[in-house]
Amino acid sequence: MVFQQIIAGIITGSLYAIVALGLVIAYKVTGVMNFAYGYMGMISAYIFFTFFSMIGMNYILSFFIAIAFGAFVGYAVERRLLRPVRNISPASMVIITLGLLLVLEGVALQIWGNNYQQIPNLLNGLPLILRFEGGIIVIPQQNLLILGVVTAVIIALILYLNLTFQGKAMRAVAQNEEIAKLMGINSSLMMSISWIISGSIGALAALLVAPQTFVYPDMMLSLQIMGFTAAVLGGFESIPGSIIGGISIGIIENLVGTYISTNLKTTFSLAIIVAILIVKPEGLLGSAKSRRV
Amino acid sequence: MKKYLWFIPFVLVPLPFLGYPFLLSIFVLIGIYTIAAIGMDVLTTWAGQISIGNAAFFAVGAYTSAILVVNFHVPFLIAFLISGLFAMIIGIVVGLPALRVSGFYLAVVTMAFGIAVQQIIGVFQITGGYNGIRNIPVPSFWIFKASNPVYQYYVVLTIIFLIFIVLSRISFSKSGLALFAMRDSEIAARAFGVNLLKYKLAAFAASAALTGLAGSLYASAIGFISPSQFDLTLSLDLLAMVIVGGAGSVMGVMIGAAFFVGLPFLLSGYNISITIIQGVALIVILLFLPKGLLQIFKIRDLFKKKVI
Amino acid sequence: MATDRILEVENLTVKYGPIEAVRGTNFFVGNQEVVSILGANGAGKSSTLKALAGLIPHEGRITFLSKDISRTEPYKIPYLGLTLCPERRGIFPDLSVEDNLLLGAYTIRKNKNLIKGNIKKVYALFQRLEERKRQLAGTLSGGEQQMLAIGRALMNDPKLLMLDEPSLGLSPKLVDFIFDSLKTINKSGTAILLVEQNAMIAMEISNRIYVMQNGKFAISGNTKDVDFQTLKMKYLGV
Repeated sequence: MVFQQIIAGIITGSLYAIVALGLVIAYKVTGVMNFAYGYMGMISAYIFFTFFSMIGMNYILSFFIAIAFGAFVGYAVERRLLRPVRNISPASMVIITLGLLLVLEGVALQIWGNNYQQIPNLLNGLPLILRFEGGIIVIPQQNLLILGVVTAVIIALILYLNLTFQGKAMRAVAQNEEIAKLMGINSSLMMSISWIISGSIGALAALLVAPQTFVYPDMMLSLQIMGFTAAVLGGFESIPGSIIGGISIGIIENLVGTYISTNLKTTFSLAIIVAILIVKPEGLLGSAKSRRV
Repeated sequence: MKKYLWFIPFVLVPLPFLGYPFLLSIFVLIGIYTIAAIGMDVLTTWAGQISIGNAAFFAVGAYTSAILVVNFHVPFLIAFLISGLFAMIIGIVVGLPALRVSGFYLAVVTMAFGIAVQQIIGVFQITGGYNGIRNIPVPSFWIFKASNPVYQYYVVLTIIFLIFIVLSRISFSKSGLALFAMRDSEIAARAFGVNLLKYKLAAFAASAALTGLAGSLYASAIGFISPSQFDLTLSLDLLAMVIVGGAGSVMGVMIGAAFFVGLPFLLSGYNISITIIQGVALIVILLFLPKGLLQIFKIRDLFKKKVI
Repeated sequence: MATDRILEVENLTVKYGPIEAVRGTNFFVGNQEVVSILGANGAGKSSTLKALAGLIPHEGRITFLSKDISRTEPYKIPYLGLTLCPERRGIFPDLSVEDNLLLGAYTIRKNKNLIKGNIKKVYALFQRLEERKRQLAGTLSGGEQQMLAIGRALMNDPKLLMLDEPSLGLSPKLVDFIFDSLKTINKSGTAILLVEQNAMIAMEISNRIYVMQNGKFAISGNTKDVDFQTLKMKYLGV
């Protein structure tokens, strides 16, 4: 039972982790905490729903169209909404993302209505069943898919940021934009790329979670909040921080939900996180100094 | 005394609408949201902190007041004051740890707090769970039966006026200067020996108290509360009212509240989602009119000295 | 003579709001020359370099290798062979030493062999960097960070290397080492434009100097024609 809950926690946690990753990448490179992040992903889920369920297009193709759309939204938001106030007021950028949240919620309502739309799992085969002395663990195939895709994305991201010239250039911009320019790095392009990556990750997270949550305007609210919390827990700094933050929140939440109270699982998880922040305000893996802010 | 003159037009506002109680009740709502938005303004403009969880204090005020009045038959005026006090206590309890983090982190912590309060309210018996509390009686003020929206309007207006007097006193006092110093530069403020945590906490507590008071008025004006009324969108709306209207001024906050409360009624005949317009307004204001709608009306300069 | 000038600056003005940090200066750097801009703190030296690198708004005309770069975007400037080694060792602290160097070669990133050769050259100049190539740059000592900054600036084979206060905060022994390295770099054909408060050491390696005071040049000329004692007393406030 405990193992089953921990496995379930890892699956949910892996979703929190990539949402946190997407937030952190955009934040590190451009200094903006994107409060519309989940809602940007939600729009992609609706795009998928439109192509797959309404038009009847192939699952995989619709999936990639939706992710490309997420990438485009990421690009457009950074370039058109945030760039103009970038050097004027960092606080404005945050509030613009809050405005964007309202707009996206309204747009979804306007176009697709308030109904919960269903999206089928990609994999519906028999669940993986592990038997051992203490009991059995059942993992549905869709959850294995989530775990696999998330792991692949994280590995790809680590390789990109650590091994490619462009990835290193992006990290350079995150550390010091001005010095990066002196190297000949087009920091403006890197900022766009960071939001394109962030936008596609957000879309991916929404598509992975959609079969469970259904598609509706606020579908990503809890994922967004938990993603934020995971990022904060990880110190809003690093990839490992986001992963550890996400997985631990996923596990805490599932255990609390099972053994304490289903209704209050978010509250309890948040309380634990606030407690951690009181002891260590810079997060679990964050460093005391803050470069952006 | 001159600086209070701008209030006079608001005293006259209900006169043309005496025969339209529905319109008057909208004005009452605008007033109530103005109080809550002033609470937000105290935090953002004065202390430079962003909260996206103030709906929680609104909820705390609304529920405290409703439970006291409905379950314990406490007179409204006392329930009203207790709800402000209780919201303030919660504000301090939350503020103490929350203010150890700042900037974006505080935004995340307050967001978490807002969500948590909404969830907690939905669980307990005394708050009526997800169904909320119905039939909250309309308060009576001594000889007035406040079911008449004209009375409600003047009650709310008086409260705003009192808040305004207190705020303008504070802004010219030593504490006000300390708050401004803190907003502009934490390091500079620290250099001048300002006890940052104390002032931040004071701003947070004041913000919570004002929002709680507004929540109490809201509960009795609407007569029905449930957890879904106090969601993240409400927190965002409160922040947006401050920014859209014009931060740092009671007048600006009023304009913002009027915009956000009045708009849905104006557009109720059209099939258009309100949040789109609200969000677009917020973004457009930030991109093109950083000082808020007040700037359009060109009245900011007129009132600048009087307000903060 | 004019064809030998790789950098020509005319009437350069830098303003921070109402304050003029650089007030209509004219100067040039010749092919393979070492030129120093000297002056006390706040004289406008660093602003001059930042303007040349395109990092801050400026007025006037900057010509590099017969091309007007007054309005060129900062990130395009290193592609032309003009590289600024920033002050206070502006390195990337959370990247490894080798990654810092690689980023210096960002403009030639397509040419892997050239990069390999240049890294070897830098390691030959500063052996300490090779010993620490896997370490995070932020963990290096002050002197090593300065070596890294200079090494990184050399990675894209600049025609003109601009350095902002390379002696800042270093021990005399390290300063000597750094300036010896600059001499070596210059001998291999790279022109150097140096901004320094440490006039004595800068003059040792410079062909010509400009002395800056309140945003203008007070003196300029060949190093050998300038009397160091007068300079020190009158302009550098030492």
